Amino acid sequence: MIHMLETRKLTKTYRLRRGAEVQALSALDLMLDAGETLGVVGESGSGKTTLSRLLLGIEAPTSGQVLFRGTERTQFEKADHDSYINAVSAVFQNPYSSLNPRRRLWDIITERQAIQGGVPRQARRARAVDLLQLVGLRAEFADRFPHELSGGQRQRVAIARALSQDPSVIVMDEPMSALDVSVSAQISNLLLELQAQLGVSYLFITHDMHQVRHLCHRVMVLLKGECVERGTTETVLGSPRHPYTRGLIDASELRSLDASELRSLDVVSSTTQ
Amino acid sequence: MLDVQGLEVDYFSGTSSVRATRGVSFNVAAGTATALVGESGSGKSTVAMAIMRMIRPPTGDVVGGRILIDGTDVLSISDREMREVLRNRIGFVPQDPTTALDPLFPVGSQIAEAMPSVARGERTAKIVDLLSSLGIGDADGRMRAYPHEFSGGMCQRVAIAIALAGNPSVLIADEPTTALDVTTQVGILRLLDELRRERQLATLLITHNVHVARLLCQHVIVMYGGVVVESGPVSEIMEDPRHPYTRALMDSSAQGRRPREPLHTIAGQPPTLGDMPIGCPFAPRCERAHEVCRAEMPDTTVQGARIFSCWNPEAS
Amino acid sequence: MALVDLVSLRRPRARARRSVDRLPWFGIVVLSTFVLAGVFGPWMAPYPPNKINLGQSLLPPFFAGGNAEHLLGTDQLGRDVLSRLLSGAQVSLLVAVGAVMLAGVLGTSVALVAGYLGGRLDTILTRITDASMAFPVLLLGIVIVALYGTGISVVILVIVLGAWPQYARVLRSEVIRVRGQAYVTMATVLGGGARWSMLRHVLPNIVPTFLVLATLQVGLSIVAEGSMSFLGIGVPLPDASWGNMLADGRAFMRTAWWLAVLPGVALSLTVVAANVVGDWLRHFLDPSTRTGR
Repeated sequence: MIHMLETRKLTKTYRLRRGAEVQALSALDLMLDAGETLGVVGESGSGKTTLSRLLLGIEAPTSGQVLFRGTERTQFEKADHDSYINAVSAVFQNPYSSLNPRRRLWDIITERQAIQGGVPRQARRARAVDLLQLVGLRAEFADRFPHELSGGQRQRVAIARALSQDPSVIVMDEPMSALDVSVSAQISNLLLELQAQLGVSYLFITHDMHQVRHLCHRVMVLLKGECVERGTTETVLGSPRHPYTRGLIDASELRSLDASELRSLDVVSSTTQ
Repeated sequence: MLDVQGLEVDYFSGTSSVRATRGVSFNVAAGTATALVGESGSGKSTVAMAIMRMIRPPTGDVVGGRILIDGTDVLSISDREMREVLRNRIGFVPQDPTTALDPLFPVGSQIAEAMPSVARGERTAKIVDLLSSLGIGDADGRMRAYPHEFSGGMCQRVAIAIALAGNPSVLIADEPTTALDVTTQVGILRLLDELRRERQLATLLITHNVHVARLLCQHVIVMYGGVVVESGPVSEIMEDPRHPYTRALMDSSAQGRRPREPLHTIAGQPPTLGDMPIGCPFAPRCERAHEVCRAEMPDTTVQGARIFSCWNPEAS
Repeated sequence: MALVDLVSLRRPRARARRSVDRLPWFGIVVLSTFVLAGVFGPWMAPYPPNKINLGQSLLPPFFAGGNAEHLLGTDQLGRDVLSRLLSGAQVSLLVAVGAVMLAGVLGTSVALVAGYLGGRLDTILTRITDASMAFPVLLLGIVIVALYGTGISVVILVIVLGAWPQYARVLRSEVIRVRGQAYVTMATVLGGGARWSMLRHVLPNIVPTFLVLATLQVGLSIVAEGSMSFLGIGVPLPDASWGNMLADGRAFMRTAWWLAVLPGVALSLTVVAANVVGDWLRHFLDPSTRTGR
């Protein structure tokens, strides 16, 4: 079966000085299809950031494959690379450093069009206005600078930018972590609406189990570069099998744990640090 | 213990000033923990900074009210006396443990800096004791290590050690677990809880996370737009909120919601300091707002153990 | 005081709003005078600047006992100081603008390439930069003059050789800082190559630091030219430049103080003006002090 986005045995090893190696991602398999949200859950050191960097082409894998609509990335022609960039876009965690402070919002949102060329400024600005309204911001925001916006508004702009190339997948790396609870709720609802309206898929990286329950159809749990559990959201969150998953759910729920569960949690977390 | 009465803080901007907190009053008894809950711009961090007298010209100033620490009004003492208070009566745990420590010095020396009244010869023993009691194994060796050799959770434990070095009676923790991994957070929270009980600390926990507040604290103070909108025993407030903002805050958490069902949100955004509405600061976003709400700041209503400030509170 | 201290980017918003509303008149007036003098000076001068008149030598300025014929006095060869200041302005203007621009372009390019691309290229460029900083540029200047004679081009060349490493070193750190920002990573994700990111994202965001450096360099260049004149490798006599007037006038500090002090005052005013205008320009270009509304 051909999936929209797929990885096979995706591996990334970083070489440190003095010959030491860090296995950031080990033989990861992943599948994502149209219109669905896949949650990738992990803490620091789990490999989730590495995964997003590999999928977005910021870095190359050490081994393994990334396939888009069945074609392996290393087999891409020039035109395929362009299509891939259009099809897979991104929203990053920090709304304060993901927008160029010296550019106006319409310019930021349509940067992809500027890179591709051939689109006059007026057309770009008009498109930006459409996208702003799609994410719930008024048209007059188009001429503003990032510093005039709050964190939540900036993230909306980042989402608008991600949508400007009509993507099939948006890779989101902890998009709500830097936001207040009530703002986070607004963004969460926005993402649901956009998915219903546009049919776009999300690869949603987070450490927050509540967001997973709210947004994701399926979820995979990463620990030290490996996937330790995967399945539908109901299954994984309702009856987790791996102790790490259980620990994450418990910690998110902040239920009081008994001593033995807490001790085993410590072992797991200290090895991830 | 900590007693804040009618705190008014201004921030200066050019030739004008904006009021960041209005009439904030609460107290924290020894051995209890109070959560100061609010979102960005609510004034909660300002309150914490004001308690430590860290809001000074040209940035801003405390323009009204009293802050009593163990009975002393710290707003009326000299700078030197305030430094004494900061050393020996108040401990502060910052939000980001990794930047709270100086990367150039071993952690032991940074803890030692916080205990200048202890004789040099006794410091090592005290530091080792402190670190071990906070869950850092091999304290003797670890105290010579540098911050970058520690994980986030360990750094936070070191930061807590620094906070406790002067044997304070008041502990102020500013979002102590926000920057940490979820599985690490539990450990730190349990630690803070133990410390409160063992040392009878009056603990003020600043957070935007209502669940952390419920887990750790006996009382909660909800702030919005520089004003205390509701306060009282934590379980009462959270299960049965009177103020519409408190209710909306409880509702917008994704905890307990059905999958893929839209969350309750509060339309609009919190007010900026320069743009504060007349009357109740929450009125523009409140579903229960009446005309009086937009014209007049609500009176404070006392109901049993709780206090709230609303013209049209939620029914019980 | 390290340059790094001088370029710390504090942005006091409230203050900036006031200075954006109020143009830096002092700076503008002084700099305009400087520029006008530089462009039209030789024609505005009351006397030919190099005309020797031994009978009128060492006359003081009108406010120190002199007469209205020579408003700012004359030098040891009877040449009119005011005329020399005006024609000297032209030289100093050329030197300052030329050296600052060329050193700026060279230093910024090196900083961009080294900081953004990193790796071996960065190591090589950084080594070259460090070596250039350690290099005795004035000695090189003497060699060049010995081979090719004096002239404004030589002066500018030597100053550029001495100044470009400053830009390169400081701006490289800035480039590295900006490169780490998420919006630059985003540009890569959007398919923008190295050139795209460097020109669209990195360059505009290092402008504030560049401006601070450039305004400093204006003054330093003019003084450097003076040092070169003192060593005899500056602007060739008898042509005047503020730098060589300063250098020559030193010998007469006790008897005819105005010969060194007046060009010194002109230089100081220009440097202060450049700094004020540069600072204003930095605030003006900063989007956080202006809005799109």
